[in-house]
Amino acid sequence: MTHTPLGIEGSYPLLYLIWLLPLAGAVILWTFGPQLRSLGGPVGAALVGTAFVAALVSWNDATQISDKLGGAHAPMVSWLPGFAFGLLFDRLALVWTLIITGVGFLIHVYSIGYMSGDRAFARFFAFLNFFVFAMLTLVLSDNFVGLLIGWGLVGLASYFLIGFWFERPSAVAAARKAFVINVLGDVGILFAVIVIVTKVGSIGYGDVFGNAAQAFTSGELFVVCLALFVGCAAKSAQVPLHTWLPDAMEGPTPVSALIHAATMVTAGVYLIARCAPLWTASAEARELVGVIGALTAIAGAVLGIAQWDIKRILAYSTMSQIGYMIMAVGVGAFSAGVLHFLTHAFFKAELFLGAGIIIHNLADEQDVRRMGGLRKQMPFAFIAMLVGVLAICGIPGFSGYFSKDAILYGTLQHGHPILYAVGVITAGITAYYMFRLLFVTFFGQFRGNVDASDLGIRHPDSGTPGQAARLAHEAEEREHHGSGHAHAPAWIMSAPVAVLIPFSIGIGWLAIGGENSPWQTFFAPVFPAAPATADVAPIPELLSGVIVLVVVAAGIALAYLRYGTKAALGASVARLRAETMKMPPVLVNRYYFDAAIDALFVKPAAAAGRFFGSFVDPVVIDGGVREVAHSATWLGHLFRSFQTGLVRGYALYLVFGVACFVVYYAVIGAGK
Amino acid sequence: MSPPIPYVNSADLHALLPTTVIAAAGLLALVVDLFMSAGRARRWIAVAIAAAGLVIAGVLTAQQYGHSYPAFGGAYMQGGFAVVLGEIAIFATLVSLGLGIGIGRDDQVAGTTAIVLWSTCGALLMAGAGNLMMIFLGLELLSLGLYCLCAMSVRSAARESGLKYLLLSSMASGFLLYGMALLFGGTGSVALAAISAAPPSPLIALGAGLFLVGIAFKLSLVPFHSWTPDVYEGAPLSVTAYMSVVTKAGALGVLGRFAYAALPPATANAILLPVWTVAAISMIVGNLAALQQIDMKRLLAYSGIGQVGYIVAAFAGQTPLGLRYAIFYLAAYTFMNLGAFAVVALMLKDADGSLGVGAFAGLAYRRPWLAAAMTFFLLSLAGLPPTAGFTGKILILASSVGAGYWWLSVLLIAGTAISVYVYFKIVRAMFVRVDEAHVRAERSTNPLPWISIAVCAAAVFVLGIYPLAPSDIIPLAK
Repeated sequence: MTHTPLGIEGSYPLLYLIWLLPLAGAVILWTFGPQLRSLGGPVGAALVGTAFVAALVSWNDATQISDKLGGAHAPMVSWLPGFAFGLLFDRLALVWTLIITGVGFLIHVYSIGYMSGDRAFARFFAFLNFFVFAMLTLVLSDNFVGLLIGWGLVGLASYFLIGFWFERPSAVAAARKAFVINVLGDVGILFAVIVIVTKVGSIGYGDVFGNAAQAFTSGELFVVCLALFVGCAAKSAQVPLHTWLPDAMEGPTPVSALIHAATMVTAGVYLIARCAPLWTASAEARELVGVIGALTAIAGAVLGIAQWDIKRILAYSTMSQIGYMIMAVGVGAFSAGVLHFLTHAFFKAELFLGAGIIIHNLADEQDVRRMGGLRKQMPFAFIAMLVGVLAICGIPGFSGYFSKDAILYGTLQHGHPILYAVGVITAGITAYYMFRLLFVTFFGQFRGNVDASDLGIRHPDSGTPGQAARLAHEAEEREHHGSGHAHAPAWIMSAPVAVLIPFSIGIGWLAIGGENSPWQTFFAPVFPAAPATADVAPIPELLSGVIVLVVVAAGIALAYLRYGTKAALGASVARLRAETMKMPPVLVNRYYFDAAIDALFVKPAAAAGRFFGSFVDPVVIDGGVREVAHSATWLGHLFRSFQTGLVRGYALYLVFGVACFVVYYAVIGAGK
Repeated sequence: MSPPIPYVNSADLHALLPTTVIAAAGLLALVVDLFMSAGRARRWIAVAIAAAGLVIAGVLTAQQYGHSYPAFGGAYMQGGFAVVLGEIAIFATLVSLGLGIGIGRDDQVAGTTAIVLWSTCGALLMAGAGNLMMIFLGLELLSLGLYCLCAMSVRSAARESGLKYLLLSSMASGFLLYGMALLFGGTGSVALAAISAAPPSPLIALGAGLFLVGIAFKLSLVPFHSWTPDVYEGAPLSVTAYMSVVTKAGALGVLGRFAYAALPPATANAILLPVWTVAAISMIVGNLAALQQIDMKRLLAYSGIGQVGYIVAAFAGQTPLGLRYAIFYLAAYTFMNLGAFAVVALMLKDADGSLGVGAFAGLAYRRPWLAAAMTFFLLSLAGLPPTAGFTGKILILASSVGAGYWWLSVLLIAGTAISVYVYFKIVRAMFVRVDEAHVRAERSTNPLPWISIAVCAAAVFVLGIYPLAPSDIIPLAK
C-alpha cells in the first residue's frame, strides 16, 4: 500500500473550533440547562453561529491548492498503521460545513421562537447542538471510521430529536423506526469499512482512493460501493429504506427542517460524492445508485400527491429531491448533485420553516384540508412558501431550476436517457403536488372551523397511528402552547425565514455559465472529470431545459385546474372530501411498504423472538448454562478437595507431575 | 599465545549495576534503621530508601535498553528482554512496598524491606541469566527471601505458608538442580547456548524435563501449583502481591531464554510440548478453582494460575512474536493484578489482614471510585476491551493460532470464558445494593495504594489502546 496524502497538512486551530464548538454547546446546555432557562436557546444558537463564522473565515484553508492537493488536512492521532484520525476540510467539506452551521444557525434562531415555552427548552438545544457536532464529525473526518462514528452519532441525535416529545407514543414509535433503519445502514457502512481495511489496510480516504485500483477487483469494489450505499439509502431515505422519513415528522418542525430536510438526510449524497473515485471506478455501482435514486425520486413524488399532512407532503418531497441528488451522484454528475443539495437545503428549510409558522399559529394543525385561505392571514408565510414552491418546481430564475436542470442534463451526458425521462416526469409530478399544497393551504376560504367529517377526514381511530395519537394529543398541546405564545416575538421565527428567501432564489445562480460557471470551477479540482465519451448528450442543454419546463408547466396547470380555479376554490370542502374518499388505496397505504415490512420482517422476527424467548433461551441456552455452571461448581469442588492444606499431599501432586514429565522425556529421549 | 583476557571487566560490572544498586539500597536501609528511634518514621525511612534505590535501578535498567552485552562470558545477558522483565520486577517491588508501607511491624520493616530488595535482585539475575549457574543463583536468591517474607507475620497461617513454601520449593529446586546436572552431563557446559549446539541425547531430554519442572513450579503451573493458594493466602498482602508478579517475571525470563536460545530447533517443540500442556491445564483448572474461592487472596492466586497459563501459551511454536507477546501480557498482568491488589489493600485496615469476597458487596455505592477502579482491573483480567488484558489476549491468540496450536487457542478461549464468570461475580457484588450493616467495611489509612491504582489503571488503559507496543518495543532474546 502506498500512502496517499489527502490535503495540505498543517495545524488548523479554527478547524477544531468549528468542530468542537457545537459539542461544547451540547455539554453546556445539557449540564446547565435548568439554570440557563430561556437563555439556553440563544447560547446554543450563538455557538453554532460562531462555528459558521469560523468556517467562513477558514474559506481559504479549504480552497487552497498546491501540488494537485486541495484543502486543509489536520492529522490528529495515529493509532495502528493505517489507522490515522484527523480532520479534512476541503471544498466538499466546506460546502457541507457552511450549510450545517449556517442553516443550522438560522434554524436554531427559529427554534427559540418555535420551542419557547416547551418544558425541555434547553434540552432541545442540547440535542440540536449535539446533532450539529455529529454531522460535522461526519463531514470533517478524513477517514472511514471517523465517518462511521459521525454516521452513527447523527442517527442517535436524530433518534433523540424525533422522539423529543416522548410523551406521544407515535413520536416514540417513529424515533425507534428511524433508529432501527439507520442502524441497518450503519451496519452496511461497517461492512464496507471492514472490507476496505482487509483489502487496503488503511482507513484514510487518501489511501483508500489512491490504492483502490490495485486493492480491489471490480467485483469487490462493487461490493464495497453496495455496502456503502446501504448506509446511504438508510440515511437518505432511498427505496426501500425510506419508510422512516415520513414518520420522522413526529419531531418538532425545526428538527424536520434541519435534520430531515437540509442536512442529515443528504449524508448519503455526501458519502457518494466523497467516494467519487470509487463510484467512478465501478460502472455497476453507478448504474445501481442511479436507478435507485430515480426510483426514489418518482416514488416519493407520487406519494406526495396523496398526503394531507403538510409536513408529510414536504417529507415525501424531500425523499423525492434526495432521489434526484442520489441519481446525480450515482451516474457521476457529482457537482450537479452537490449543487442540488445546496439549493435544496435552502428552499426545503424555508418550506419547512414556513410550514412551521403555519402549524405554530394554527395551534399544531397539520392537515391542509383544515387550512385554506391563509394567504391573507399569514402573508409572510405565504411569500416564503411561494418562493420555496417556485424553487422546488424549478421555475427559471429560482435556485431549484439550475440544480435540477444540471442533474437532468447530467444524466443525459452520462448516457442514461431512461433516468432522464424519469427525472422529467418526476419534475412534473413535483410541480403538481407542490402547487396543490399551495392552493389548498393559502387560497380559498379558511376551513379550520369546518367539521372534520365534511372534509372526509376519517375519525381519528381509523387514521394512521400517527394521526390518531396526534389528534388525541392536540387538545393538551394547545393549552400548553397557549401560554407559550406570549414569550415568542414573531420576528424571531420570521427573520431566519426572511434570510433564507434570497438564498432560495439566488444560490442557484452560481451555476450560470455552464462549464465555466463559478460552481463548476469551484469543484473542478475535486471531482474526477466525466468520461470523455459520455460528454455527448443526444440533445442540447437548451432543448432539455425546455422539455423540463413544458412538463413542469403541465403539472402546474393541472394543479391549477383541480385546486386553483374559482370554481374549485368555491367548492373546496366538497372537492377535498371527494378526493379523500377516492384516494387510491395503494397510495394511501404508501405502496403497502410498511405492511410488507411488517409481514416480511416484523412478524417473522416477533415469531422468532417468541420461539427464542419461550423455548431456546430458557431451555436450551439457560439450561446449558445451568449445566455448565453446575459442572463448573462440581469441578471447582473437586479441585478444591485436592487442596487439603497438607504438605505431604501437595508434595505428592508434585511428584505425580514429575513422574508424568519423566516418562514423557524418557520416551522422547530414547527416540533419538 | 593470545593476550590474556581479563576475567572481569568494567562492562561486566556495568551490566550488574542495577542489581548492585538495589542490593546496596537494602543494606543502606538496614544500616540507617540502626540509628532510628522506635516509631512509625522507621517504616517511612526504610521504604523511602528502598524506593529511591528502586527508582535509580529502574533508570539504570532503562539505559541498558537496546545495549545487549553478554556479561561474565555469557553468564548474564545484559539488554534484550531482560530490560523489560527487570522493569516489571522493579515496578512490582515498588508497588508491593507501597501497599503496606513496608512489611511487618515498625521494627521489622527495615529488615523485610532489605529482604524484598534482595529477592528482587534474584529476579533480575534470573531475567538476564545466560547459564545454568546464574539461573540457580537467581532462583535461590529470590526464593530464600520469599520464605522469610511469607512467614513474617505472627499469624499461624503465615508461619504455615512460609514452611509449606520452603518445603515444596526446596523439592522443586531439587528437581531443577538434578535437571541441570543432567544437562551439564549431556553437554559438558553450563551455558544455555551449549545445549542447542550439543547433539540430541536422552540425557539432555530428561535434563530439560526436570529443569522445566522447576520452572513450572515457580510459575505455579498445574499440577505444580498446589502451594500457591495456601502460600498466597497465608502470606501478608504485600508479599502476595510481590510474589504474584516478581517470581513470574524471573521464571518467565528463564523459560523464555531456555525455549528460544537454548533448545535446538529440531527438538524444541517435542521438549516444550509438556510445558504447553500444563499451561493449557492451568488455564482451565486455575479458573475453575477460582470460581469457588471466597478469600480474595486465594481467588487472585487461582486467577494468577490461569493467567500464567495464557502467558506460557504465547510461547507455543516459539515464534519470535510469541516471546514478545508473552512479555507484553506479563506487563499487562502486572498492572491489572497489582491494581487489584492495591484495591484490596485499600479495603483493609490492617495491612496484614485478609479480605473476603463478601466485602465487595455494594462497594459501588460506598466507595464509587474504588469500585470503578476494581471493575476496570477485573475487566482487564477477564480480557475485555479497552484494556491491556484484551489486547494481550488477542495477541497471544494470534501467536498461538499463527503457530498452528489451535487446541491451545480453543482452551485459552474456554479458560477466558470461565474467568469472566469468576471476575464478574465480584463486579456484580459491587453493584448490588446491600444493607451496610451486614458488610465488613474497613478502610486503610495508607494513601499510597491510590497512587498504584492510578498508575496501574492508566497503564492498563494505555497498553489496551496503544498500538505499537509489543512487537516494536520488546527486544528479542539474543
